[in-house]
Amino acid sequence: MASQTETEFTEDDLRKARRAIEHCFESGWTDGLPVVPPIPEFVDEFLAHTRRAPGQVLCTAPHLQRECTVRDAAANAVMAGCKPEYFQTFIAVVEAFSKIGPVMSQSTTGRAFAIVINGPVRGRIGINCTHNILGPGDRANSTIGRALRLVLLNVFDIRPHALDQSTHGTPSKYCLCFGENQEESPWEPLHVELGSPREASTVTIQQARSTLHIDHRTTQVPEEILYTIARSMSYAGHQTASASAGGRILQTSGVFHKNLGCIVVLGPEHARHISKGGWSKQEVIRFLFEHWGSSAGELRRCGGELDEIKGLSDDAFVPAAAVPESIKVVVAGANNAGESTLLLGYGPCAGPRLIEEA
Amino acid sequence: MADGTIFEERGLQAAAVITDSFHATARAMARVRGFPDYRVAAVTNPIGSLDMDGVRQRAREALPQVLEILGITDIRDVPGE
Repeated sequence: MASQTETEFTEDDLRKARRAIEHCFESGWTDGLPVVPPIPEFVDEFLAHTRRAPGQVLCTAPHLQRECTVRDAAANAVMAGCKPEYFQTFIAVVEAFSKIGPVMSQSTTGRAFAIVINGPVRGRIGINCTHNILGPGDRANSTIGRALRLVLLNVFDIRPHALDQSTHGTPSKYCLCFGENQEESPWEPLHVELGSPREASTVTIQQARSTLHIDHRTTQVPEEILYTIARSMSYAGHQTASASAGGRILQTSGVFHKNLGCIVVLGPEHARHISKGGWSKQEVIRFLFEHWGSSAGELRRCGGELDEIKGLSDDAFVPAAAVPESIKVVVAGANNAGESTLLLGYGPCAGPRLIEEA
Repeated sequence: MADGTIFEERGLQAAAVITDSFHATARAMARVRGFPDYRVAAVTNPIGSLDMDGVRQRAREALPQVLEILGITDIRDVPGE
């Protein structure tokens, strides 16, 4: 790497580049990591990859009196380190995100946005769908996800210590973008399930407060795998509610947030075992829905004699979500172990949003 | 906070109440909404985990501030006290 750098750049070039990067830090344009300085020439390269007018508004935040135009999106995609050919995908990301709304980014719960890419665009721009999809190392995943966070910081001004009220946040707020491993999935992909043509390239987004890893490689029995996943979805702190009971106002781990959402990122090995057992994706979702929740007794131990569970016996099951549509199953990751991951947050998801051709 | 400023824009008096953990956010929102000097009533954090006596105590904290923000001077006692 050093010799290649030496042939292309003088040390003086690199000093200037470093000063430009520092200028971006000093200007408050970063997420805490270095960004590519968004000079107009670079932004124009991105704009050349879309037929959209630079001034077209992609996303608005009326309560903040701000909006994100195509040009704003391009500038932040430059800064995030995207390639120009990612830009149409990123436009779809911002448009899908607009359906959820920037206001949801200000919550104390510190929400990330899980971006799921489907269709042929994955191969065209190099979206990783297999090994380490939620980790670092793949430019398209990392920079497209990061660009959305930069839009929130730089366009909507939702920054920590001010409009971003996150108590802790999550590392996923830096970036959370991956492709579905459609090629190793036994079922129809997410975008087809949600009504898009199979040949379409799409973006689907859901709020995610956390990721939770599931390791279960000692069984091939569908019910055992799925029950493990359902119990993992049901950890106490994921479900919140407020209610009045016994003269006390309670906000507790417990019951019913009917707007809960969960993307189950099913590893291909788990998906194969479940499918070989004869299960359709809809049956998987139904099983998870029916086992996502807690007993009334467990909820009481967490501190809530809430209206929803009054009169129930301790062993009565209290579902976490109101409808099965709160659960999305996406097959993704490497086909190398019995592992899956939960992206736990709020639904419904936004999308699928079509990624336009140039 | 945003709702309070929207009421004000529409000519309706409003008083926004926050817990004291949210001063920075409230200041940022006020600035964004074009009300950099917007005053808020602030009570001690938290709210969600309080029992009813705790909630009443927060109300006692909030009420004088709310009345002052609204320019009301002829109520001297908190109802129920």
